[in-house]
Amino acid sequence: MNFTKEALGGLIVPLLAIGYAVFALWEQFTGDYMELTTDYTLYLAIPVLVLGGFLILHRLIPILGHLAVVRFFVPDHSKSGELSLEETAEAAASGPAARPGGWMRLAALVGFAFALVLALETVGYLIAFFVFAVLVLLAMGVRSVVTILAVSVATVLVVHFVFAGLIDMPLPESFLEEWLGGEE
Amino acid sequence: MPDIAIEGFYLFLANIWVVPVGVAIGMFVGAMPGLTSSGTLAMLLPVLMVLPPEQGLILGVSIYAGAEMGNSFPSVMLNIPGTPGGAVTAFDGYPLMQKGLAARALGICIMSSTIGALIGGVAAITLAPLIAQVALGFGPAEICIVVLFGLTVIAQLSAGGLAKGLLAGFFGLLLATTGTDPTFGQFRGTFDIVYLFDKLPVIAVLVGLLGFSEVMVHAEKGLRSLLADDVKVPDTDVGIRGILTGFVDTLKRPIEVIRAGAIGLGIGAMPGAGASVATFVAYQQSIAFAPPERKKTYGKGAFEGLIAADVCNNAVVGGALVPLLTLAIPGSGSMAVLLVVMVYHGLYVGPRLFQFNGDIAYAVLWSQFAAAFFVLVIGTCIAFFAYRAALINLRIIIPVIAVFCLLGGFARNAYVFDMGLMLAFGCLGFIMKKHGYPVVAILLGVILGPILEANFMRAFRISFGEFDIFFQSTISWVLWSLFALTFVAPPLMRLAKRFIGGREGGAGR
Repeated sequence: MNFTKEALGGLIVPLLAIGYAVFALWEQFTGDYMELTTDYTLYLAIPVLVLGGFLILHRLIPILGHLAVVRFFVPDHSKSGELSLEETAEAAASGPAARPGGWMRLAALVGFAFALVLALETVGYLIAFFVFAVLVLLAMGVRSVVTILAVSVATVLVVHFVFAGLIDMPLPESFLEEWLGGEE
Repeated sequence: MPDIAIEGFYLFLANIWVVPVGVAIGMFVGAMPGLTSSGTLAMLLPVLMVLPPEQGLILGVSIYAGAEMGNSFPSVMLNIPGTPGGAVTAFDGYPLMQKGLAARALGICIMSSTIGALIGGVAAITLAPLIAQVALGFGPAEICIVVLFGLTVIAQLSAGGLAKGLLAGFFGLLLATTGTDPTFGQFRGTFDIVYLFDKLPVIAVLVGLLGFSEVMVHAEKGLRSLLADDVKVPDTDVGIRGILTGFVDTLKRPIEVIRAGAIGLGIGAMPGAGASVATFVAYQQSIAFAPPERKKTYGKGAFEGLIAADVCNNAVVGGALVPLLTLAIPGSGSMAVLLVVMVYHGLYVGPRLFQFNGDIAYAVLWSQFAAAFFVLVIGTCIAFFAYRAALINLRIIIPVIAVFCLLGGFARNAYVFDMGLMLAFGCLGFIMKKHGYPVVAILLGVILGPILEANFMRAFRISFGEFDIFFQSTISWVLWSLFALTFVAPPLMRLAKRFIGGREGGAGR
């Protein structure tokens, strides 16, 4: 079991929550806000700070996990050997073990998606979604040219005719869409 | 009251064509491991929002009902549940398939799901207006307590435990304060980004947390399909005679059906616990009540276990509708999507829904009966090949779903910024899932945050800034004691279970 990686990963959510709570409090107590607003924020921020701090301590000091009081708040199913119902259901539905290289695929998917968001207004939705689909398929390990082209073209067609056409979603357009639109 | 029920019935009749479409989509989604009903509904949000409110809601409920049936097909044929709610179906369904009784098992699944949906429908249409009537007496203080109650129940039921669930819930509430302060009109938490001046775009958050995080889970696994390596694709043919025998098998066990239906309703109505938890409980109860000589057959192809699982996961749909329509507290991720659709169309969410948009509420409730009928018809028609949806290459689906999610984030405001926000919340959802934080809790926080804040401010203005108002009425005391119960009951139940479990010698799963 990779203890350090697990422990650090578990810190992300409480740290984010605490960070946001501190930011909200700082903004509202230094800025010119009404007392009721700041009070409401404070009532929400206190539980976030307390619970977040508690969870961080729980992660950093493993001995805490043995206390009965702590276990009431953060159950440790790996110790008792008993999975909760939800975990059992998810384990049953999750299928066989993952292929190696998960982080690479994740980084590719998220990276390409952010790149698409940044490029969308410049290149227009047709090109952006087509290139995105091709790149993600390649990153997922699909190598058949026919499959890649078929899926990407089908995706773009659905976006163009259903979302931009039928639903009339104002997706960012560029030269290709204008050229197509001019022909119709 | 009855007038509006009849009005709702006419509205439903005018839109009845939506139901078979929804059930068919739902069956496909359910039969395909990797697509969950909540993720699919999140993906389809642009479509749900474009339709008129009654059609969008009926479509959503029908997809949910169809998915809870469809997940049984791959469970029985291939031992992989289509959604977590179908996991229990595989316990007894797959052994039956191996014995050559696939058709009969599928028949039981179809009939059980139909009856489950009927039980859910009857209960929802009788209970929802009654509860709404009671809830009409809720003042702003009581509504605040109900919101907190909902968040606590989710936290208590989530696998990661109370602390993580509550943290996620309050983080969500805090995130919901982003944008313009509704009381005084000041900007807060906007980071000076113009796109956040209105408020945090709930739809982008929802699509990211429910939809995109799911894509990321599959991208990390990178599997062609979720089938276990040792499972062979069966070539047994499913005959109509076997399916009909399965129908009869189900109808012969009414007590089993009613017990599982009641469990599904009850757990479905609880916020945060979806079909996956409900089916496990129903299955365990079915074992507990079985005569000793039948107990051994569970897990080896007991009809009772199959019935319990399938009645239960469809009854959950009706149960989950009750708190959604009466208190605006969604019982699961799928219901959260429907709540967002309701808010988008400007319906009166909460107890006043039945007063001002009663026809739509009743149309949705009536549509469940049509959904039950179409589950029976469509389920029987596609039983022969539906499990093949589980063989679709998951890696090809990933970019398609990702594109749908991006469009879903974009749909509400048409800001490209919202797409980026959707991605950010997708990453957050993924990390939360990896570390046992309930995604539904933070989502509920974001959705209910504005409601909580508005009512909190209203309560405070009524009472001139005194906290007394939260303890004044009898209703609020009842609600507070329920609230306290969510902290006290689970450890007591755990103790009781240990006591009973010791006596029965672990007849569990």
